[in-house]
Amino acid sequence: MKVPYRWLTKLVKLKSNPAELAQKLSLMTIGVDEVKDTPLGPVLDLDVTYNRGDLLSMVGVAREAAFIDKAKLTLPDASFDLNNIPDANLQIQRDQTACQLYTAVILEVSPTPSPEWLQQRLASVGITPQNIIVDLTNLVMWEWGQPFHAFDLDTLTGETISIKPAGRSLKFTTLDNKTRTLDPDDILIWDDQKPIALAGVMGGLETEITNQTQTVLLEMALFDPFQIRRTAMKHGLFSDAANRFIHKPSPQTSQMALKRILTLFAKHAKAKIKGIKISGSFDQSMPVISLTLDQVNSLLGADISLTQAADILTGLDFKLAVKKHNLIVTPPHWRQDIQIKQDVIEEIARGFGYWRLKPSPLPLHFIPHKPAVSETLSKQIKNFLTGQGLFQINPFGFYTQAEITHFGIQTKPLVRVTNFISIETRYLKSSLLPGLYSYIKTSRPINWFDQPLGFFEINRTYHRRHQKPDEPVKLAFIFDSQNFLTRIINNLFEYLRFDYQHLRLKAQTPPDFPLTSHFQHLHTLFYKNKPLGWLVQLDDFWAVELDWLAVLTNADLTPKPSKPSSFAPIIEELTFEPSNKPELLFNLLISLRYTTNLIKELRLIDRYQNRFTIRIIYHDPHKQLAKKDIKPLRRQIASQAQKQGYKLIGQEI
Amino acid sequence: MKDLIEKLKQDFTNRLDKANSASDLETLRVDFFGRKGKLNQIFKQLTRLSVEEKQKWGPYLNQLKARWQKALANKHQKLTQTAPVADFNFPAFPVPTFGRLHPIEWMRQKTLEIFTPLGFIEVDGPHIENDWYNFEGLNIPPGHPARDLWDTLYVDLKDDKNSPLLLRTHTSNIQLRALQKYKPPLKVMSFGRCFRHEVLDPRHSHTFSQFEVLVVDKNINMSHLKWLSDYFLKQILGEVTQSRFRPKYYPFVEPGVGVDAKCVFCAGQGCSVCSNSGWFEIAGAGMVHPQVLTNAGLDPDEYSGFAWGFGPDRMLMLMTGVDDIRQLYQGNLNFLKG
Repeated sequence: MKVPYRWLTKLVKLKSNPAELAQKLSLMTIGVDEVKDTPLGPVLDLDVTYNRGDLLSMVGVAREAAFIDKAKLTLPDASFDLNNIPDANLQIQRDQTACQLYTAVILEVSPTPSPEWLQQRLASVGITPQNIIVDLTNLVMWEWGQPFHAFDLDTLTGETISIKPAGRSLKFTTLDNKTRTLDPDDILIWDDQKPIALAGVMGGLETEITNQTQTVLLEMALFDPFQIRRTAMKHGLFSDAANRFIHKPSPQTSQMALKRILTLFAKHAKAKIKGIKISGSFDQSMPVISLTLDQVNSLLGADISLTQAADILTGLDFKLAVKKHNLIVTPPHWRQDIQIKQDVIEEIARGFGYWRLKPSPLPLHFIPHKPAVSETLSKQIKNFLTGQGLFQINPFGFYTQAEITHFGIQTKPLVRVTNFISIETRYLKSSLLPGLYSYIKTSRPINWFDQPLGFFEINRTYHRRHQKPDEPVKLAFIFDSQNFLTRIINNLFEYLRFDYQHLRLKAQTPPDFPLTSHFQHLHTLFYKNKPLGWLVQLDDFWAVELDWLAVLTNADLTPKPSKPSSFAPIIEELTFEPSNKPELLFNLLISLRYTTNLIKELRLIDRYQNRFTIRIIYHDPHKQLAKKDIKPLRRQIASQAQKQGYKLIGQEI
Repeated sequence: MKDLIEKLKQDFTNRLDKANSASDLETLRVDFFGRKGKLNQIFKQLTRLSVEEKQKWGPYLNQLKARWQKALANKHQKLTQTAPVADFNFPAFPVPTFGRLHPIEWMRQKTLEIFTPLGFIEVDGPHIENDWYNFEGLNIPPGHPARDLWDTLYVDLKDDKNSPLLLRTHTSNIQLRALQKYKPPLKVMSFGRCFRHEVLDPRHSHTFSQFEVLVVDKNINMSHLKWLSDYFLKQILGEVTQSRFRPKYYPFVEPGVGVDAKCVFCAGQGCSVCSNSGWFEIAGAGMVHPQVLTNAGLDPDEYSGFAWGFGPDRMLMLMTGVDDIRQLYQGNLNFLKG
């Protein structure tokens, strides 16, 4: 809402300059986006919220300004007596839900240019002046927040005005010379034969005021805000009028606005007011709200006295009766947002000044509920992963079109956004892997020191299960080498104290694996016979995706220290020749580790052509191991390795 | 004899100079010092010479032999030194140096660390939410113009009443869920993703983070909200700052306030970061609307509470100088390393 400072000073004797006023308004009333200096003086731009529709008018802003600046308010002259106008020879048929009030006034008036002061006022709020008829409707709309519409009466047929839905799909040309296809539920104003306006949103081109206009039908109505909003949204027509109807002026404001516009028409346009027809009532009942001072102070945590509260409310034009400590409050007719006692308390709070509220510490007697998942544990895991050299990423939760195409992701099972912004926000991710792949692909060229590259992500994935949403959180990794993958996964499971005997990697396709191309070596990872995730090669990257909840529930990070031993370990290095299935290395390491509890450490230390070397540290804390103790173990290792497709070389067995 | 020795000396120097590998040196050694080598052949010729000649050339040849052997050894050392050194302790494949948490994760941990000591527990709600928890239950009925505050993305799934599910537009969907699950006294917090129908640009994103706390008990009032706002801002931005409330409208709170922080860059004097106002808007808050408490099955005359939420993405951008929100969701290795 644009509020020209000069215009405002005509309504209220302000003490504050524009900047001070903006500051006060934002602290006590509503946000001020900016104060703009224009050739026609400073203009305040208010960020009007839904509850404060009354501030979509100069009069409404003037009332607030008068209150916060303790200044005198002078309302514009609206002394016209409606009772002096004869009844117009007109019928109004009104759909009661769509239209609460409809007033039609017949005027004899010529569309002469407006006087200078009127043109300037409109220009100061960014409206182009046209002629006195249109300009006065705009002026009063800006002044009181009540829109008007003027029809050229000679273009209307018959003597009935109806307000009703379109009923069927039809074409209608609006004032902006655009032909729009209307829906059956759009509310229209009709004469006997045709639609003449899109109610509350925009008038029709056919019935607009022209230079030839001699007689005018001036419409003032109150429409259903919900229906106006729906129509405005559908046609993208958030006109000044529609915006005000959506905020719904109060019927008494409408009456004031009508008196005001007729005063102006008589004074400045030399109009002859021929007749009026009113359908509906200007009566309005306001709620009577009872509250105690105690309730005010206990919600605000303040110590506001009865006098202070009473002064604030009366200053804001609330009607007030005080009975003992009870405040019986009736809001002014333009404050339709005040319905319950909390609303009244808010008025007292802002009038008192939020900056005067004293802080008081939050009571600490709460006993926190036990969280479902330990934040400490998840933090430890994340920090562990970064310590291993991985970077955490946090991409959008939507598949990009490039990801869908590259991996041949079937879009049918995906959860889809129906009103997507662009193709890039249409499908919700069912796996984190494509996003990780995109990330590592853009990052590899800038990995200047050529260190191994790895990323991880912990985020939700979105699935439909029997037409219900399911949002499992996944932990996923991607690496630029298989070595890196093997080491991280091993380190992670060791760190989390997963029981290696229950970890199994099987070359099988999981049922909900979404990719259909550009991957190989797909394996399902099982823990205690339940699927834990999958391991896969994506082009020349290696990736793992695990169920985060399963990781957290199976992890054990409680300390389990062991006593120092005085016996020395035996260290030996074994070289294996692999099969042609490199992913089996993972299984090999697992099976070697759990061949016996004498193996304390096991590490892949070298790799050369198709051979690799593993260093094994044997240790028994209770006795000194000898070569003869190791020999059967080595034999066992060799046979385990052979089962996985590896051959121990260069060692006597 | 003299000529013979001179010729041999020249030959040796030439070949030593030309030798550029250990095997060249080995051939040279065999040629000159071997049993049938050139040096031995000259020694054999010595026997045919006179005693004076023998006394003259014998010691000279011995010195020459020692000198050449030394030169050969030196050259050998030189050659082997310039050859690549094999370090067998060097790891077989390179090792990464470090990784980093994502900035938003860092912000999340920092925020939770500030609220956890006060007894707040973390809760989370679904991202795919129904209309009740996201809107209607929070005092925002269908078709209500206040819904214009949230441009909503809908998905092709339906709830039990056959109305479409949506992507939550705020973390406030945890409010009713938490109130139903844990009865008061209640102090919960939630950090998570939200979605809105926004075109991506440096200031706007369809996906963004939000943090929210909800406190409900008997006798909770606005001075507690003020205290918590001050506490959080001082913890995260430093002691210079403080909070300021302004009237603001959110349908699920009454009274509702916008929370400003005193600008930490200019200590409230006015600078480019705060558009010369000395304050910047950080959070939205308010006392839980009685209708929301009623919807949660609580008596609003008995219980009161407040909700307080802020945008971690914006705070992070302010703290780190990132000027494009897309960096937080797209970015690359350089962004994460820095």
